[in-house]
Amino acid sequence: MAELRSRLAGVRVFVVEDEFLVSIALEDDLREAGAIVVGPFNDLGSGLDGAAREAFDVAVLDVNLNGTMIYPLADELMARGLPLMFLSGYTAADMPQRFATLPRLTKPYDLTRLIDAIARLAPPRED
Amino acid sequence: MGTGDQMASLDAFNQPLGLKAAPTLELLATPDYRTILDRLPSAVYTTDTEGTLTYFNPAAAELAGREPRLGTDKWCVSWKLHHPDGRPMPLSDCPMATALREQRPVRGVEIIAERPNGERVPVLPFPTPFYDGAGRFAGAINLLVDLSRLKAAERQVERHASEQAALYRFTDRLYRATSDEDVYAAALDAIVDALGCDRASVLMFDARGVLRFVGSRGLSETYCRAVDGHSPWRPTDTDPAPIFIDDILASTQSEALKQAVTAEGISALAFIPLVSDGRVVGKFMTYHDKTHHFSEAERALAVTIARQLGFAVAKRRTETELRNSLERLKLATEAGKVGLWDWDIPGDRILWTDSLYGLHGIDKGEFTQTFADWVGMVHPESRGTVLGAIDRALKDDAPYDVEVRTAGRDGRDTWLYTNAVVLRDGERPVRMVGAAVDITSRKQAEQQRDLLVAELSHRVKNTLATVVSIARQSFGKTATIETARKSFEGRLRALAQTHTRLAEANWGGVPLATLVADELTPYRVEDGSNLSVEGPAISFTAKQAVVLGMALHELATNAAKYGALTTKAGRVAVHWGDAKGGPFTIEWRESGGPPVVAPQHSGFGRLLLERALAADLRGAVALDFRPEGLVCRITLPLESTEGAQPGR
Repeated sequence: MAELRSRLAGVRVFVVEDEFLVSIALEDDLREAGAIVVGPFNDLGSGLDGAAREAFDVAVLDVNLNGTMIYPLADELMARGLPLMFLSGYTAADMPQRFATLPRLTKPYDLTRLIDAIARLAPPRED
Repeated sequence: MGTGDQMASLDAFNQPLGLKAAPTLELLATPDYRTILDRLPSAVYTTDTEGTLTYFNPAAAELAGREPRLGTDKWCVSWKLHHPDGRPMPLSDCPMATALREQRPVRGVEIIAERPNGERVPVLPFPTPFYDGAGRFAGAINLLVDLSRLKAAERQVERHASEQAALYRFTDRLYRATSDEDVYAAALDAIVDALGCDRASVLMFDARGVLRFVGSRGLSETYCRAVDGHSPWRPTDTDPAPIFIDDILASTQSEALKQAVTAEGISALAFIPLVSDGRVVGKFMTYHDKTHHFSEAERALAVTIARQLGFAVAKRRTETELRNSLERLKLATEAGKVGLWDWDIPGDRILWTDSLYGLHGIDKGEFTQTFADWVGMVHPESRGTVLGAIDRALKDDAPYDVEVRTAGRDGRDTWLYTNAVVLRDGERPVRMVGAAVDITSRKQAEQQRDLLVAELSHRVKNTLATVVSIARQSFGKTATIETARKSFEGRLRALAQTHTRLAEANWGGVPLATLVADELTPYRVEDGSNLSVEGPAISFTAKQAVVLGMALHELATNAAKYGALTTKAGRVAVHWGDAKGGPFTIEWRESGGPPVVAPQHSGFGRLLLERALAADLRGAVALDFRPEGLVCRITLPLESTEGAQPGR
């Protein structure tokens, strides 16, 4: 854990997750890894607003937000060239082709793999 | 009458003989001239002025078929004469007699000479009077031209013309035939006309491979029944030869067949196989009442007719199959289930059946019928697949067999299954013709199923993630493992209970009364006096129900551990509603328990109530730790209850 603690030092992670209990656990985990959590946002509207307003290095997105799909936000982040990954119960086959190459982890997630995936997308700052 | 006139009138006669001068008695009498006449292949004879035979050459005797008698026979070397129409012609009326009587040449009158053996020879005579040196009438010379060869040639030409006409009529009728009966009737007429037989029939193999009469001319029913099924060939024979029987009695056919044929008054017959697509499909028969020699020409003609008939039968069968399949297709296209398309590749023009316009949800004017316009109608998601398949079909003749998503101009998506064949001019593809079927409903069902599977996966995994989070909350800050385990198990049971309720309602929603009852029932005293649950019927959606269920679980366990449910006098009242048009409120009120002390730290219960309800239902939760009992007021905005439905 000591190792994980600094893996995401200073990385601003934008989180959209609609399940409160899941989001608090995720928030705790990311903070412990040294990340700064932007969010969590729990629906598409607040997610879009948050993404427009806040600065962040990487986004971790749930796919199904109480029946609404995250795709418009994912499209926008891709258009802006911001790295993103999905954290979801969905498989690649359930999602549109254009997202097939993006990193994806299944819930419940393995913490080490989550942090690895985020670190690959947004390496911690040296400063 | 001057000599010049006679000279002139003799010219026609002179020419064939190559004579430069008019024949005179003296000239004819010269030995040289006799020699010439004797050796002439044409029949020549002379008479005196009375018509008595004075000279004939060997050719004349041959034509007459007898040895004429000089000085006795009169008018002619022949035995008997006839008019061309067959009436007898007295010898004294023959053209030679006329020429002698009237002292003039007679031309262009045809006669028939009968030989003593009965043979009749058509003859064109050239009787011409002649004169002696003093110009006196001396007799007549006659040249007889045998017309039989010419007549035979004429008849041959006529017969050939009539055969050709019969074949032409046959071909024409086959072309116009609209039924099998038309084909057989045309064939029977052609057989009788062209082959000059007395009777004819056509027989075809039936479905069981038995040869059956399908048409006949002049045959009795008895005969047809007697020979029905008889066949020199089997339906599988590939190279059958025609059979010609000049005389049935002299043939090697079976006695039964001989008997049937003879009883019908037939002496000669021919079996001509009909071949279609390389297989014998039937035969036609010609019958002659008398024994008959089938000439080479007749045989060739019979085979020609058989070939024509075979083509016609094959064509009819193909047409029938085509018509049947076209009718089926027409029915299907009219029902709107199937569309047909035909792409003229070099001309870049696509033809659609009306049904395809319907399937694409567009009107006729909206499609310019070009390939590019059609590609524009294919949904971008399908475009790569479709263009790739077309490319492979055109280049490599790969089967074209794809599911195409079309983006209709009415905004409606349609899925079509289409397959097609490529028609080529040599190597070059010139046409692509295909059929398309609407499979939208199947695709929608597939998509629906995929969605459900994805949704289920999402729910299961979210639930597991929630369980992980609950575990972390339960074990994180609690003093003992035992307490933590109990809390964790209780929370899992609450979560499972809500899921059971959702499953029972087919994930449609759970009534609030049920959620409350599920948490409080374990603490209910026998008469139920410690609980009061009241409120209008309202149901919550799956996600709201899960959070509410867990919140109610935390409230109930808290009451059972520290609050009103720890004493006999304690009471819990849960009331809800939207009194006076205000926000929807759920009030949890405890009373009669031990005096309440506000907790020192915020546990999982408070986290869930104060933050989870706020996050997941946008609710506001007020916890009031009054000494007489805890009051928890959950206020839900109207938008959160919009998804909730009034219900039991």
